[in-house]
Amino acid sequence: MAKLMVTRSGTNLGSWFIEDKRLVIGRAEGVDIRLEDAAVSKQHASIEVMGADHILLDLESSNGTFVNGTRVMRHLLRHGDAIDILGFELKYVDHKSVVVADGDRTMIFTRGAEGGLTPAGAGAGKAPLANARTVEVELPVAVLRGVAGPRAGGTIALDRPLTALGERGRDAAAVFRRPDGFALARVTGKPPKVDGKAIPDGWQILRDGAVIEVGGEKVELAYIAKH
Amino acid sequence: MLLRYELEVTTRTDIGRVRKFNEDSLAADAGRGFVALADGMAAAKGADLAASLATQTLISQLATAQHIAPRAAAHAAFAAANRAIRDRARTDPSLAGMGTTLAAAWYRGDRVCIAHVGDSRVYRWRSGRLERLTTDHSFVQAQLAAGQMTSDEARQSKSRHLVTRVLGAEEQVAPDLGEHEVLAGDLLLLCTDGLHDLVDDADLANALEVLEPNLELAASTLVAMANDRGGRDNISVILVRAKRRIVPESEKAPEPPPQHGLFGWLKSKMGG
Repeated sequence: MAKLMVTRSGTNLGSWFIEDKRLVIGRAEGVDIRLEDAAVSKQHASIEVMGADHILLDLESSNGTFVNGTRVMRHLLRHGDAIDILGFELKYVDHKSVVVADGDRTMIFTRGAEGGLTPAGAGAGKAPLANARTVEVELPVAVLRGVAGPRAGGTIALDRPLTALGERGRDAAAVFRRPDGFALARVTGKPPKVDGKAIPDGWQILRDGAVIEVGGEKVELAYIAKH
Repeated sequence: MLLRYELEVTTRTDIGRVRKFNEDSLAADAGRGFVALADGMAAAKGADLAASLATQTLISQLATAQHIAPRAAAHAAFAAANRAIRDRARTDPSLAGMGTTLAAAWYRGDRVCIAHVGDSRVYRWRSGRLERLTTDHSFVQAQLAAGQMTSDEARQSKSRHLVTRVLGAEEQVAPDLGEHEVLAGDLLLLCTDGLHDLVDDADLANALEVLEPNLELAASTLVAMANDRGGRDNISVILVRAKRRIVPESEKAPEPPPQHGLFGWLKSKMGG
């Protein structure tokens, strides 16, 4: 179960588990997580529960709510997030969400009688939840410089996953931006040449400075950054 | 009804980079114009069984329903697939709770019927534009529709793999059905969430735009894109291109009698 571990200046003030109802954080009596400091608003922020997700809302506080150093009005909490409210640190811990050993499992949920979501069949409770972080893949950076043909002297950006080369529907090839480098493959027609040699079908990794010829175009790969 | 288009079909399924088993199932019958894919899930075991029961039952049901209205046939085929999974689960306690998504496209005449449950998707690539033809039956889709979550939050949600409608979970299942006109050159992309969870619509469109003339390369590259981004789930892709119209001999109009000279030309323009 997810929890918030609250500290101030290194002093542990306790942990609050996030169950199935919203938690209000503030200075007022009767709120769920009470932060006793005059600068904290009476109802400063809340944690909204949306299934397995917890969304932090700033309740129009006077002095703001910060997550990992950035002021937020609304933020989907991720394991390890540090919420800062006027020097109170509330660390969001959700160990279940970082178990990814078996990948992302699809699970079945059905709507319960009161509209809440309850696991059904498929042992949803036991299945590991996926790490909620977005995919961050390090990609190389390069451009193609036109050597001959319609784009001679120009520069072709390789900022999308795939970039077309040659003549569409005739002799055409594509450059594929992958984590381990840029690759080239024939799409239609005659196979493209790299450094004067026709390449076999399928993605072939290109070296820095490779000269590609396809459908009347001649371009050179120029790396800017490689990971 | 006869197919009005010749279909070029390419399928790919891949275990991904993390999972130990492939629990997706694909089926395609280009001659009859059926394609389907399923993403199985289970409490203990049977995820792969549920997925393959779904695609096989669907395809064999559709094959016998050529003369039934498409919607009725699709409803009956999904119901039969649901029953097949539930009947099988009853024979073995360890299979209890197995279920699966199912997305299918079924061409008839100059139309295609699209049916699905769960979060496997069908997209259409037409004239350089990608369009999603299905709406996920998922927790985050419901939150999005209700305005409770932003699309950014949905992408990062821990609940993004929770499906709210599947085959096998309940006695009755209601697939979403859509019927669409087919134009020559239309491309359908069917995929499991192993692809669309990691590759967003803009990148899917980019891949189809560049690689669409070569469906084999397009399908294997879509799988590679998901693997390059972590391959956290099984990845399955079906691409179907509707090619030039095949006009059945019986429907061909008789050759018009030859018209000669200006009078003949005028006559033909005035409808004889």
